[in-house]
Amino acid sequence: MVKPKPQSKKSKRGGVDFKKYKRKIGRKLPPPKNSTNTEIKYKAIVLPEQSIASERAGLATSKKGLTLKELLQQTSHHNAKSRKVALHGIKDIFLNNPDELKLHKLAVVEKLRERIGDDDELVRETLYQLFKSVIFPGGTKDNQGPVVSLMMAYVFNAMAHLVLDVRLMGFKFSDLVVQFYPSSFPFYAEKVLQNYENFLRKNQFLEDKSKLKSILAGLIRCLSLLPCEVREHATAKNDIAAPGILHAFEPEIAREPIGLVDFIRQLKDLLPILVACFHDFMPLMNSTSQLDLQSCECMQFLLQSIEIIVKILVGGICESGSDTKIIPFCGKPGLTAFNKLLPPMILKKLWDIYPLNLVHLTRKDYRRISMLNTTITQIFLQFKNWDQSPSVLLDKFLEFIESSMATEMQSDKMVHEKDLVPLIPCIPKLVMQISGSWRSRILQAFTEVFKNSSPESSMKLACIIAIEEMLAPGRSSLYLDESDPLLSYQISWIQDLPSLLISLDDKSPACSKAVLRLLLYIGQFAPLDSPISREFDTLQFRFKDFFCKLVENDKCFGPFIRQAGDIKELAICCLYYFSYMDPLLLQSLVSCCLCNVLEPVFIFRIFEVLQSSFRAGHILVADYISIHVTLLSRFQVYPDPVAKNDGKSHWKTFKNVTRIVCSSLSQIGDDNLVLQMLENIIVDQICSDIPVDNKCAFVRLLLTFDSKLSRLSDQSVVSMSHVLPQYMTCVLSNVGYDDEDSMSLTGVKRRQYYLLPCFYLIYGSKRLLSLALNVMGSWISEASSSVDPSNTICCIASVLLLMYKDVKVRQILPSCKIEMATVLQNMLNLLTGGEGPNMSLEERHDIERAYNQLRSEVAV
Amino acid sequence: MEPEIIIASSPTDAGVSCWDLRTGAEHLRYKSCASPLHGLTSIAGRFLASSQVRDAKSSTSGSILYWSWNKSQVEVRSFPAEPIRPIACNNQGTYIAGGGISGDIYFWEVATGKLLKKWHAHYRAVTCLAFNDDQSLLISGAEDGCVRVWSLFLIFDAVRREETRNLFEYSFHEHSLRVTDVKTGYGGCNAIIVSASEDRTCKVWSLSRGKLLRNVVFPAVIDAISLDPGEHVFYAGGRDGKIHIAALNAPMSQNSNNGPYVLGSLAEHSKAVTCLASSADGFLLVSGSEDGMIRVWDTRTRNIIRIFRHAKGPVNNVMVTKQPQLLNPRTSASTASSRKQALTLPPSLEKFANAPDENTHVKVLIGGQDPSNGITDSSYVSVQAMEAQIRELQQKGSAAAAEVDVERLKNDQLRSVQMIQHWKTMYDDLHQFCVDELLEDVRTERPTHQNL
Repeated sequence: MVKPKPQSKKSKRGGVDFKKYKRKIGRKLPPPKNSTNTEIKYKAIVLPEQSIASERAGLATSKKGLTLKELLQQTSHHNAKSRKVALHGIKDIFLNNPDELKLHKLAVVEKLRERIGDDDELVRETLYQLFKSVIFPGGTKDNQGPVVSLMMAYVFNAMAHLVLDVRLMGFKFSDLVVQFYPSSFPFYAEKVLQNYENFLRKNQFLEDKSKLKSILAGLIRCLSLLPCEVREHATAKNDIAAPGILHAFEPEIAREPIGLVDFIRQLKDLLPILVACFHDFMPLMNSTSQLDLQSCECMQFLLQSIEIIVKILVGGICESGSDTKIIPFCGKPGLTAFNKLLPPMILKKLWDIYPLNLVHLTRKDYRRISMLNTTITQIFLQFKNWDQSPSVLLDKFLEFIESSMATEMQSDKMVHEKDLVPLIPCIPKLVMQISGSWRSRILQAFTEVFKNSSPESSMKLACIIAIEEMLAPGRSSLYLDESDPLLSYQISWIQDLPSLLISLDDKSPACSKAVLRLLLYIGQFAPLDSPISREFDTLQFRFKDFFCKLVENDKCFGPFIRQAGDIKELAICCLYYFSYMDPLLLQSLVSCCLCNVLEPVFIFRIFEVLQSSFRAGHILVADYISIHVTLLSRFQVYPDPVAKNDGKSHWKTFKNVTRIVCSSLSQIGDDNLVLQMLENIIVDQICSDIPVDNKCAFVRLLLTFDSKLSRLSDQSVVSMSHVLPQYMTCVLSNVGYDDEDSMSLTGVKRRQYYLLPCFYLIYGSKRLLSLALNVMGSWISEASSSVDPSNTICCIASVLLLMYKDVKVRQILPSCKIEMATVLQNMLNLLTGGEGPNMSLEERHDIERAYNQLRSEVAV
Repeated sequence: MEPEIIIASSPTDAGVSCWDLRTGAEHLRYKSCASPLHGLTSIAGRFLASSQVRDAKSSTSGSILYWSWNKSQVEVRSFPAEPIRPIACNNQGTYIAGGGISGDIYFWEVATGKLLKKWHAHYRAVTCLAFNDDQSLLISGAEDGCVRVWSLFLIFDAVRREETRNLFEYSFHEHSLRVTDVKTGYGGCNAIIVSASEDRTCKVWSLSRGKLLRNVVFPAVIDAISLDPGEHVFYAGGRDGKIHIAALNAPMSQNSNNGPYVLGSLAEHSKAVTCLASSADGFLLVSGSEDGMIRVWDTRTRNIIRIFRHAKGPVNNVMVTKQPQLLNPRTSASTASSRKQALTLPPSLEKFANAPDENTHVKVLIGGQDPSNGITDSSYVSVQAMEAQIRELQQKGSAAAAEVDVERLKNDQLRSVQMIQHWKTMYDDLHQFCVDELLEDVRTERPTHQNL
């Protein structure tokens, strides 16, 4: 194993040691044929060093073949360029081998963090990108504590660096950490805020606004992570507990709340600096004609962070003086604490310049300025004692609110809807606390906004939430004395809800849901016989179009059937709270149920709620009966009678519908009385021309009231006797025979389902049996003139045979011997009579066979 | 195991039936009772009470009836200001709470019939009432889907009532339709409550934190619930005729085909299950159905062990209580001896609340309670009732006095019986001892004789 290098040197040296002689003797001899080629060829054989220390096989390497360890070492190289290259290499490795990142994350972060304060800008930027795109996104779920604590020490270092750019980078990094590990932020909040404060104090960025902007964006992110009482209450209400065990011990770790006290001082110090910062922009407003986007955004950010701080401070005060939450701070001991924490003078600067105005207003500027004004208004309304402030100031704010809501309505849309949305949640608070003419003006403006905003907008949603709050502050009471002007506004809002629901269609589920929730809420909490509950009752006339609109006997389904399940559920629940239900509403509900698209679950649900509503006395008996009868008679079992094509069977649904109708009608009251009411309707339906399935349902309905037919009038029995034979033959000829094997179990079962109720009727009444037999007999005698005599006769015969198979009917059949004999005689007549030309041999044979079978049964 | 009895009533005028839970023997049937849902209760086992709503639609009047255990006729009728549907009574039988159809809750003292308090609780009719296990909280459900928790301390505390904005401790709004039943678990103010509603859900709430813990969706409307004593599961009787079993103390199981938390069902009723009750040990579950049958289930095997037939109409209330001493089987119902035992029932409930300044003369309030006096033994009575009883005791003439006398005599008798038992055993022991001694003597003496 010789290395190539020394060898080549040797050969060179060989020339020196032995002199070469050139001998020229004669002509060159040709090489002898038998000579062996003694030439030696060689090639360098590279054998890598074999040691554990530098083993690379199986290690992830970058494109340049360097391992992670080498690259990490290179990151502290004195040459900036190679540092950058090393960082790129690391990125390369991690992108190709994500596992590597998981294994070495801590080590890598520990090494790389040193570069946060790097002198070279490019290196810093590369590092930032590396963290942002690769290291942090990879596996944020695992243990985060060490990574964050490793980072933050150096981030703080960088934030306090002398060089401005490094400091900026420090803030950028802290922002990055906050983005990816928001939960760990409160532990560092105090220091981070301190750094922001120091940074903003030196007011040096009026020139470079993009940098200021990025800093402020980070600040807002940090502030919004601080625990804010108000927000926590809001979220706690609608979270449903984890799907754990009820009586288990609760985990006690990670519940330790980060006290507000820890950083409240920082916030207090930060506030005047932010205000001053904002004030520095003021000359800009007055001097230049054009307001550039950057500074405008900076101002917006400044105001937003002021708002958050004020919110936290106010919330903190509320918490400390727990019981004074409701009562404003007037003359209470809380006031001094309040003033100490949030001196009114701090924000006075802000109030002084409000409302902001530009000398020259373009439309774009107007929008921006009004956004700023909106934010200042929000800050103002954060205060608990805003209604104690001087009336001049208060008027300024109220006027702005009113005017901005009013301008929104103007056709040219100077103010965009979107910008107004944050103002809307303040309205309930305003309405509760101010009085006099301002109150009605604000209410008027709000009503305008609500009525004119487009249905699907976020504005509408915000309005609905505000309305909910104004209808019942604290969800406690809906009652108002009638003299309150608020009442008329409330009623006008409520009146709008159904049409809003219809115009929303299924485009904005969130908004539909909010509206329905509001409706449900009104229904639940309006006191009986109050103006609001009366108004709610009249809503049903428009609400019915949500389900189905009937225009000249033509159905036009409303948005209901297109909505998602939970919205449907809410809408159905609303029905319960109408203190009476109009027949028109019921009609549209039933037509909704009859459409083929609605899932069966909701049909059942609607009828379940209607039943409860009936029990509570909201529906008249006649209406209640008629909706059930309509459902039974109009329900389309489609395609008749088997639906195999789409898997779900309408037939099965209808079976359930029948069951439900039977049970809910029988629950109306005493069977006898109900039957008296229903008898004519049911018999009429049975005798009318409706599909077999619906007929079957009515027969079943009849049986639920009177299983023995003891109470049925004679007239009904007679009229039914004309229809039943037809029904039974129809069942036999149609049902269950369309499968390949007609005698399959399902076919037989299904025929049983149709025939059994008829047999029950027959057990009950012998008269019915004899009448029905008479009808059959007469059919047979008339059969010769019909189109397909053999088929009719065979059907009749098989019906009779089935009767004989049934144990109970068999027992009473002997009592109708005469009628039976007539049937047989008629068949015989047909066979022996000279009807030959009408029947083929085969048909005649069929009839004969049926006759023989029947005769043998009768004989037994 | 003390003998327990099942009591059942229905909305049609079918009376109150009464059976022994273990043996199945039928007791007296109490006449003329048409109770609404949750309108039947036994006042601490002393007598039966039921609210009556005769005509649900045009109800301007209702009544509350009392039956004593040994007489099938109604003994006391009271006519409250408005029809009362649900009634509930605390363990000691001192109070009756009744929910009116206007949403008011009435609170009476049983012994005197005084209307102690009446307050506007809900916007719609109250549908169910329940006391928690330490009797300090009253939980009510209403037609508007609202479940509210009332602290009796707050309700009777005039000063604090003025201070607070709301009378209720909690008000839960999550149900979207009528609340059909409310039950509480064990643990005083740390207990859970379970509420069922027509929106096909049952919700589990925490009384201590006042928040929703669990939402269980069923395939049908649930009309009745019953908690397992260990609070592992609860039973929910649905309108589909099944008694669904839902898990309380198990994590959510996604794989079950019934939906999360629903473990299975007991199915036998052909019609809707309207009411549930469980025996004291929790092994037996009693269910009443719209078909007029009452079924007793063994919850361990999930089998029916007994079926009773109440009447043709639907059953809407079942209860399981301890067998009262005065109750006799049907055969010996109207013997002279039982009539002699009968104690008169308390007076009827008053219609209106009395003037609030009636008890102003009570100046002193005894703060600390003697720790040796078990709190569990103390029963709650109002000052007026106590005074009345004292007066009666002094005069030695009235029902309550007689009751106290009987109670005392019973205690005496019990003590004497124990004494006799004690003497008997002592005598037996002595006798045994003497006999043993004698025999021993004889035995030891005889060998010596032989030796001699």
